[in-house]
Formats: sequence, structure tokens, C-alpha cells
Amino acid sequence: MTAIQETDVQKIVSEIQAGRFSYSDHANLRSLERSLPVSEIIYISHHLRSWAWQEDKKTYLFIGDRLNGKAGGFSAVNRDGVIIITVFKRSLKKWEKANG
Amino acid sequence: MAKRDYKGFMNLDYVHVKNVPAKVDKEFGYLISAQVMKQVECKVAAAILLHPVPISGREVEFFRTILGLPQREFASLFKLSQVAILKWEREKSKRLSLANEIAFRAIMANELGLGVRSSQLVQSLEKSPKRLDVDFEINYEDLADAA
Repeated sequence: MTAIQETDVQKIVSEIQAGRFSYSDHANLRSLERSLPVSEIIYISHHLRSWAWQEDKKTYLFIGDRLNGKAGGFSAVNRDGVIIITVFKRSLKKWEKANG
Repeated sequence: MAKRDYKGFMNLDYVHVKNVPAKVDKEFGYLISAQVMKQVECKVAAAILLHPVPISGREVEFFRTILGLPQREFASLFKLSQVAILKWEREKSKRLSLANEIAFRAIMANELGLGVRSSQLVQSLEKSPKRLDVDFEINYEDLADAA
């Protein structure tokens, strides 16, 4: 983890916790398909388990607990404001296995 | 500024939303702010309460998640156990009992700050619509107050 990444992550998380973010078109449609309302994204940002920089996609991936205790997450970037790129529901164990 | 429409909203297939403001972005297509989406969620919830939409497990889960409450905290609004809410939500298409539905509508209207009268709560249990249109440009709080 670089200092720049750490600063970026802190900024992204604090903005999402405050509800100051936008959805990309893709994330917006996925959040509707997967039934993840704004409050659940904010809840996940308060209950983060892990995050990773995705070099191939140039985005940060965040995973945490949803309201029902199961795992969910989102990927986001900071470009003149925080933009959520996609959202997902995922098994934390599977994610941990895939990411070491 | 562009406008987006949605056919189906979260797990509610019968909800059609229109005129949601979005910024056009070269890289991401549209950008929709979280504040706008939060307003859309509240408008959909208000429209459900003001129309004769049957309340089943899908609607219970929708209201609980837009309020950002785990089942235990949501249950405390009704002085019920977490298991009771779990049972409601598990039956995705089974309508709540009449007493529970009236209580649900009243408590949710209160949580959303909608001034819905008790006569409206009972009225809304009549004919159920096959489709619920929600226009972002309509202020549903005013509709509730005016009724």
C-alpha cells in the first residue's frame, strides 16, 4: 500500500460515509438489479472488512458487511469527486480465498 | 442535464421511475448523485404508501434497506422480534395480514415524514395496481398532505 493509495482510500471512504458520491451508469443499474440502496452502500463503508487496488481496472475495490451481516462491496475512484463504478453482493470467504 | 427512466426498481418489478436527473459523462455514461438516488428511493416508498400496493416480503425488505436498518432495529419500530421481520421478508409475495399492513403503512409513513391520514391507510388497501409509475418531478409529500 502506497501513501497515495492510503490517502485516496481514506478520502473515498469518508466521502461515501457522508453520502457524497455519484454512481456511474453501470453502478446505478447494478445497484437496482442487486437491490443495494444508498443506505446499504453507506453501511458497507462503515463496516469495511478489506480493500484492494485493482491495477487492471485502476479502481479501488471495497468489501464489507451488509445490513443482513452478509458481505457486499463496491469499486470506486476519486475523480473530482467519488464515483462508484460497480456494486456487488459476494461471499467474504470466496473473496478472501481469491485475494489471498 | 439528462434524465433517466427505470423499469423495475430494486426487487419491485412493478415500479417504473421516470425523469431522474443525471449528468452526462464521457467516461461513465451517466453520473447520478447519491442524494438524487436517495430521493428516488423515498419517492418510490411514498408512492407505495399512497397507492393500493399490497405489502409483502419484498416491500418490507425494500423499506428496511432504504432506511438503512438491520432486521433487529427495524423490528423495534414495530415492537416485534427480529424473527417476525425475518418471517415477513422470507415470504416475498405473501401479503401481510390486514392489521400488520395497516400498522406497517402507518409506521413507515411516520418514518418517511409523510402526513398520511388513517383513512388513506385503509383506502390504500383496495384495488392493487399492476404497475406503479413514480415521477421524480412529483413531490409525493405534497400529495400526501393535500389528500
